[in-house]
Amino acid sequence: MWKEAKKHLMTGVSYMIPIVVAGGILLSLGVIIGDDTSMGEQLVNYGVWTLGLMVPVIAGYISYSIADRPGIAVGLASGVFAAELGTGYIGGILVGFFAGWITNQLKKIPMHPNIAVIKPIMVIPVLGIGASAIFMWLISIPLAPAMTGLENWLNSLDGNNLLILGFIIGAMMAFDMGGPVNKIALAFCYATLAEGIYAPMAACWIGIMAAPLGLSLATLLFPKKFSKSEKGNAIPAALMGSLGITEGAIPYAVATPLKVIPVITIGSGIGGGLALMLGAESPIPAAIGIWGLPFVNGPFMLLIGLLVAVAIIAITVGFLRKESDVDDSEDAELSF
Amino acid sequence: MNIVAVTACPAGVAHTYMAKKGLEKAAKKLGHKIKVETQGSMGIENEIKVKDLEKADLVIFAVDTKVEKANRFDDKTIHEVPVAAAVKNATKVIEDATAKL
Repeated sequence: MWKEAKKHLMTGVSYMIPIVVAGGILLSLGVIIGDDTSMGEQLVNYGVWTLGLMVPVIAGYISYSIADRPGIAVGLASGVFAAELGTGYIGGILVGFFAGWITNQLKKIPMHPNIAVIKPIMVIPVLGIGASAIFMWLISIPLAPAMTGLENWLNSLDGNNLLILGFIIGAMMAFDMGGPVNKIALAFCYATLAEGIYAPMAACWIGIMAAPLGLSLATLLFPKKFSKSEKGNAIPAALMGSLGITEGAIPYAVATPLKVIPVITIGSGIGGGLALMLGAESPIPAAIGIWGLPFVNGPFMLLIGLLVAVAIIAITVGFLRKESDVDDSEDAELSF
Repeated sequence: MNIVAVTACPAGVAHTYMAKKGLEKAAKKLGHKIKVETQGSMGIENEIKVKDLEKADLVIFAVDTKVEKANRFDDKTIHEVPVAAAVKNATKVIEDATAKL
């Protein structure tokens, strides 16, 4: 049950990512140019419009994942309700699941073959969207104030609280190197981004990049403690890391999981916490890696956090690993 | 044995393709033929066609998201695992899958 739900959520996230990247970059380009110029103002507008698709698309494609093609229309419309009623991303996810479920129920309505054709073009969209509207209205009663509260709380965080928030996000991002825990943290950062809270995404950046960068640095600093294929993997891993792909770290974690995973988790957490405490914020999603650095607020603070995390990871993994861990005979099954 | 597989992950840029590589290597090692379709951020690549399915003895899904056009595989034995399983130990995934037959 949980496994299925996770799959639907991940499908929604995967369709949403390109939209957030494009919208976020348009928006921040506009902010950089200056939204008092006409060019900048236009870019901000187009960015905001693109980002407006975020909640409808996640709801639409969760619903698609559950109910296939008929679920898309019901989910997209429900997502618009979620956004308009002020329940944001969380509301979009919930109503996406409802939309998929109700679509599946409506598919089962028995109908005479002569009029069966109206089922996909009339019955499912109309009744499905109608039911989702009622559901959305009901859950918005508690959810909208809760979202406003969460927003205010996140906005009021400072100092040590930001450190803790940054630590948790950085650690979750690195922990499974692009797996489900990573995507849950990423989804949270998207949610806050949609509400105009930019700090969590900055920690997200560090959690994504620090592990592959730190591990490839470790192969340079401690060449005797890594196998041939691991050293050969250093450049691809560093490149992937700098492009915002944590998965480059996986081959190292496969070889000696206990000497890698705790280190990258804690190291990335510290870096994320530090950057947030120093005031780094990112209005664009962490999907383009280091190349997005010019678009963040406080790029220097983010860089400090990243470098600290990379250094902690490289040095600690180097010390924990023994030369006896190197196994050139059974070359790791993974290389790029 | 003839195997067809589908790999897919949420971001669709890394795990999807690493799982494909892992499965192909492992299949070679175990002496099976495999065709792996990727459903990444570029959509469906190396698509499994009807003629591939006719020959296939077994279907493996290494996925964290919904499989597109999943009804193609309806009458086959399907072994489904998270995409990470095929990245970490594809040999075991194939062994478990063949044990199902």
